[in-house]
Amino acid sequence: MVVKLDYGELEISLKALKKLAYIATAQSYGPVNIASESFFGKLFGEKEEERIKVEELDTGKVVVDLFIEIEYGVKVTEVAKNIIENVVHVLKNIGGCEDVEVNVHVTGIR
Amino acid sequence: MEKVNGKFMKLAFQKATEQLAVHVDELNALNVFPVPDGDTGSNMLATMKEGCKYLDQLGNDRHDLSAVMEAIRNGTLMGARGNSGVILSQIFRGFAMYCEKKRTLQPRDILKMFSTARNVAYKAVMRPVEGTMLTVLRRIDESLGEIDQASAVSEVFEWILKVADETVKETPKLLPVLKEAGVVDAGAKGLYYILQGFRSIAIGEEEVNLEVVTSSTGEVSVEIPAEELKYQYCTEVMVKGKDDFHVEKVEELRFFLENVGDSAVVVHDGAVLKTHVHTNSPGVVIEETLKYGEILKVKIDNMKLQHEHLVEQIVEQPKKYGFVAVSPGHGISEVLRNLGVDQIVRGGQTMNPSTADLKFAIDRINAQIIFLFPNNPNIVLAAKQAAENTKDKQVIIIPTQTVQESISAMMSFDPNEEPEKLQEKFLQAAQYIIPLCVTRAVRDAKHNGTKIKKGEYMIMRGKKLVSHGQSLKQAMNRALTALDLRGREIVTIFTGQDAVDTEIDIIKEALERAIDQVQIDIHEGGQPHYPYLIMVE
Repeated sequence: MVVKLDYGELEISLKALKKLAYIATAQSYGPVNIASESFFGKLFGEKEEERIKVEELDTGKVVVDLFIEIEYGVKVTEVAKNIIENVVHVLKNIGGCEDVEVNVHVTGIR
Repeated sequence: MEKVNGKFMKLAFQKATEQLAVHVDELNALNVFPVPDGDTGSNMLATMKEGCKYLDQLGNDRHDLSAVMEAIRNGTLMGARGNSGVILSQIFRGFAMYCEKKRTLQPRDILKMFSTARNVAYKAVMRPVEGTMLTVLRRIDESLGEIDQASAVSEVFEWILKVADETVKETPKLLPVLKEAGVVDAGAKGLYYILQGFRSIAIGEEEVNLEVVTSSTGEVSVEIPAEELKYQYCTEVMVKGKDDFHVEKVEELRFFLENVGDSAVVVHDGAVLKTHVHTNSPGVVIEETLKYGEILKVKIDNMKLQHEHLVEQIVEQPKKYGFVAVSPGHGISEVLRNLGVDQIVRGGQTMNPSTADLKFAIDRINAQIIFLFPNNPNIVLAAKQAAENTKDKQVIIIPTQTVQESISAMMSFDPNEEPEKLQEKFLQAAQYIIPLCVTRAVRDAKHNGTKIKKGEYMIMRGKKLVSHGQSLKQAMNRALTALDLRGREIVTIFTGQDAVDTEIDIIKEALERAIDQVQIDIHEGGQPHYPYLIMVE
C-alpha cells in the first residue's frame, strides 16, 4: 500500500499489514488457531501469520481473508464479528488503510 | 452461610446484572480496548440480561444448582455480544461446568469454580492480552492459596472482590493503551461490578431490582408520526383446543380477524392455534378466540411505541425523491422535517442505528430515489448495507459527517434537478458549511499529543478537534481564530439537553466579535452529549 505524502511516498508492505492483521486476530477472544487456506500450506508448515491472505485491489481497497479455528462453546458468529471489528480497527488506525474488507472463514471447531 | 444452593446463584446473577446496569454508562466511557467504540458496558449488560431471561423461563419452582447454572450458561452464550460478552459467557460456562454434578457449593467449591472458569476462558484465546477481564480471573485463581481455610461463603466473595479490585487498579500498568488514555480496563471493571453483585447477595442482601433506570439507554427508535397508524395494537393469542383444529374453523377465525384489523395471521399445529392481528380492539379478538378453546398466552403491544410490528402504510402517489436522515434530537428532527426529510431515524453519538432501522425507514418512503444522510461516520457503513439490501429503489448515500451538513444539503434541494446533479449539489453544500460541536471532556485524555483535562470544553469540527480550553470563552476564541471565516454571515446554533443560557450568550458574543454583521439563529435541538451544535455558513 502506498500513501502519497508531501515530500515523498510511504509504502507499507502487504507483509506488514499481514502481521498487523495477525496480531489483531490473535488478541481477539475466541480463535484458537489460524488455519491455512490450502492443503499445501498445511503440508509445508507456513508460519501462522503467513496464512492470512492480504490483497490490495487496484482501487486501493485492502482485502483480508482469515482462516480460523474456534474453541467449542463460544458463539461463533459473535467471535467472527469481533475479529472483523478488531482487524478493521487496527488496519485503519495503525495501518492507515482507508478502505478495508475483512472476511473471516471459520474452518474448524476445536 | 456455610454453603449455597441454586437459589443463591440465581439471585446472585440477577444482582450482578443490576450492578452492571447501574454502571453501564461508566463502563462505556472507559472503553478504549480493543476497539474504542464505547459499547463494552452495553455489550456486557446485554449478555447478562439474556442470562436473566433464561433464568426467568426456568420458573420459580426450579432452582436446583445444575439447572440454574445451565440456564445461565445457555443464556449468556446466546446473548453474548462483543468481545467482552463472549469472554463473560465463557466464564459462566466454566462456572456451570464445575457445578454440573454438585447440589450445593461450599466455600472451597466456589474457589474451584473460579479455577475452572479460568481454564475454560483461557482456552479460547491464542494470545491473551494482560490487563483485561482475563487478568482479573487469573489473579483470583493464582492467589487462591491465601483463602484456603475460609469457612463462610461471604468471606470468600469478600476476598475475591478485594483481589478483583486490586487487579482492576493495576490494569493501566499492564496495558499501555489504557495508560495513555488514563483509564482502567472497561471489561475488568465490569467483571468487578458483577462480583460485587455476587458479594451483596452473599452478605445477605435479598432485594433485586432489574428495572434500574440508567441515564441513557442507548436505544434506537424510529420516530413515526402516530396518525399514520391505522391499527394501534398488535395482538397475539395462543389457544389450545379440545381436539385438533379443522381447516374450515381456522378459516372462519381468519375471516373474523380480517374484519377487525389487518395483517391477520392464523397458524395451527394439532390442537394449538396461534393468531396474530393488528387491531384497535384487542378485547374483541380475545373474546372471539375463547370460543375456540382455552387461552395459553396473550401478548398485546402498542405499536405507537414499538415499530417492529408495523406494516405497510396507506398507499400514496410515489414521489421522485425521498429523504432519510439520522438525527440526534427531537428539535433537529423538526427542522429536518420542515426542510422536507420524509423519515427521521433517531441516532447519533454512542447510539448508532442499525442497518435494519435504516432499511425500515427507507422502505417506508414511497419514492423512486432516496437520499440517505447518515450524519455520522460510524453510521456510513450501516447505511451502505441498508442501501445494498434495498432492491426496488435507488438509494444514494450522501456521506455526511454531522447533522449540520445534512441541513445545509437539504436547503439546496431542488426537485427539478437530475439525481446526479443533485448528489453533487448536496455534497458541495455539505462541504461548504463549517459544522462545529461544543462538548466537554468526560475524562482526561490525550489527543494528537495535546492533553485535555476532564471537564474542559472541546470544540470539534466534524470529528476533528479544533480547540479546547478551561472556559468556553477561551475555547471559542481559539476555535474562531483557527478557522477561516471569510465570507460567512449566518450562524445557526442548536442547543442540546445540557445547554445553559449564559453559555449561549458567551458563544454569541464570541461569534459577533469574529464575524462582521453576523446573523445568529438559535434553535432548540434537544440532542444529548453535545450541548451546542453550531453551523456556520
